[in-house]
This record gives sequence, structure tokens and C-alpha cells, in this order.
Amino acid sequence: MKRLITLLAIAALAVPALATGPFNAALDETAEQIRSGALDVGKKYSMDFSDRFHTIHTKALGMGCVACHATQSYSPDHLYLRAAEFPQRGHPGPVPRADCIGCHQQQGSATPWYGMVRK
Amino acid sequence: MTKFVRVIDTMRCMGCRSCVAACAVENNFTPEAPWNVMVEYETGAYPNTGRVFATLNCMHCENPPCKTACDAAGFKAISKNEFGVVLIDYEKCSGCRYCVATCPYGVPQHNERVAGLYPGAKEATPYEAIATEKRHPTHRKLPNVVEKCTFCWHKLEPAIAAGNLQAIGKDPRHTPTCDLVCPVGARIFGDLDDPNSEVSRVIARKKAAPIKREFGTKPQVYYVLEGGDN
Repeated sequence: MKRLITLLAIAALAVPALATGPFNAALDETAEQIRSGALDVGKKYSMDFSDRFHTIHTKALGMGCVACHATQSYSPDHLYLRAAEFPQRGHPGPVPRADCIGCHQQQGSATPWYGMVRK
Repeated sequence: MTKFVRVIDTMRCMGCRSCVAACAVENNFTPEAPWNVMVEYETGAYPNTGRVFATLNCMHCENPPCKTACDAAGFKAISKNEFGVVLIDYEKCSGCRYCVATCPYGVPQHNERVAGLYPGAKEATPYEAIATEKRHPTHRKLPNVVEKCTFCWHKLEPAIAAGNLQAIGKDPRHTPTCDLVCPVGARIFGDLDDPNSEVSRVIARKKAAPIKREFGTKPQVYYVLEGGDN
């Protein structure tokens, strides 16, 4: 119960943070808590909904499914997705990776997957 | 130094998919987890329409996000060697699919099963029947791991070991199979650091450029695109 309350409190902080842009203190703080282990998001690295990846993005950060799985319209890069990703099995739709850049760039809040540098 | 790159000329590609078929046979990928796919789309408006074909396989990025993700998850199954080739160690891969989620090109493919080349075939072909331990590590398939294009590392490695780097991209034994079979010469493989190599000359002459550069991954596959490098 305590964990749930903590998650809800963090989510309450994170949602307005996302709404006003990815680069703010609340989001940075949440990301740091995840990295340091202060916020328990699970230890199992997997794409399954109950595991770490989705726990971080949905429960800890309060992102809705459609924030990533925008199935109603495809971005121009849908041409470069595998046929199996239309929709990917078990997923509600393809994820445009451009949506990830905001946080997952160099000096971004999250683990920097991508090489571009935040200015 | 040597840096292997590929150029794909979409102005020449006619969408025959020979490269896709060749890769399937060479690397025995399953249909659900292809290492090489053909993307096609229409351009223009009737009656002035066109069709563009481009194949996508691993971009072997200088800053591979798949490797960053794998390292961050603690598995360290993905490596990038000194020749620029990004490889997955199947023994270390946990099948977590973090690399699948991060690759902007949709390259890594989670393979759930090890299958033969011919669905429904009762017997494996002699090629498929080669014992696992006799195969190159990139061909020692396992279920529930992520696979992807290796630039046919099993063909490059012997040339490198023999110090025969100049054969790569020219000798069929040491050239990625997809690049060998293209009937219209739309695929070229070679050393970017050699200013006289065919890839270097084609990239310069045709203004070939990587796609999705906004991700900053610095891909090592260059495309000749209609309308220039943007």
C-alpha cells in the first residue's frame, strides 16, 4: 500500500511535468529516483506490461498508453517499421521512436539512447 | 583504420527482393524476425506517380542505441567491434527487447523460435543440418533472443583474420550476401576510410546519406535518395 501511495504521489508530480515539457526538475528527480533505486519499478527488464519498462513509463511517469501507442495515425516513419509491427503482436500499435528523443537524448532526464545533445 | 559501410541506391533499386531472399538463405532468419526487409511506398500524385523501394537492415550505428539499452539493462550482449560491426551475443541475450524498443529503425527482431528455411518441410536441408557447434557464432540460433543483420560478419571475419581486407566488398566469399546478389548494382559494401573505395566514391558522387539522422546514432548505411540527401 505504501508503495502504491509513493507511486501515485510520484505520478502526480510527473504528469504536470510531462505536460509542461520534458526538461524540468520534477521529471529529472523522478528519473534519478528510478536510477538510484529509491523508487521501486521492478528489476525484471522486459517489455511485458508488468515489468520494468512499462512500470517506469506508465506508473512512475504517469504516461497514458496513447502517448506512445498512437494507433489512430501513423507518423511518416511508419514506413520503416517491420510488417509485424502493424500492430506488433500483443501491443496496441507501433511506437514512433521520435517520441522518445525528448527524454532519451544526451543530457536528457532518462538513459540517453540517442546521440543528439540537448541544447 | 577500416570502417565498413553500405550504400543503398534507391534510385536503382527496383524492389526485386533478391537481397531479402539471399539474406534469408544465408542467415536462416525466420519470417517473423527478418534481418532484411523491403520498404516500398508511392510518391507523387496521379498521373505523375512513382514507386520507391528501399531495403532496411541493421545500420550498424556509430552510437548504437540498442547497445546503450542492453548495457544499461546489465546484459552487455551487444558489442560494436573496431570495424564498426554491431553484433549480438545470443548466449548473453535475455530476450528483454529493450534494444527492439530503442532502435529508431526497427532493426532488432525478437525471435521466438528456431525454424527451418522451408515451413512444413519434413527434413532439414544439408545446409540447415550443420551442427550448431560447427556454425559461426552469429548462426548459432537460440529461441527467445534478439537477432539482426551482422553485415555477414561470418564472411568478413575470415578475411580480416587473414589480413586480406582488400577482398572485402570485392571477393564474393568476403562480401555480405545481400550486396552480392543485387542485379542492378543498387547495393555497395566497402571501406569508408579508403577514399578510393567504391563506397566512398559513390557516397561522394551521389550525395548518399544515412536516414533518420535526427536520432544522432550515426548510421553506417547510406542511402541515395531521390531529391538529395534530405
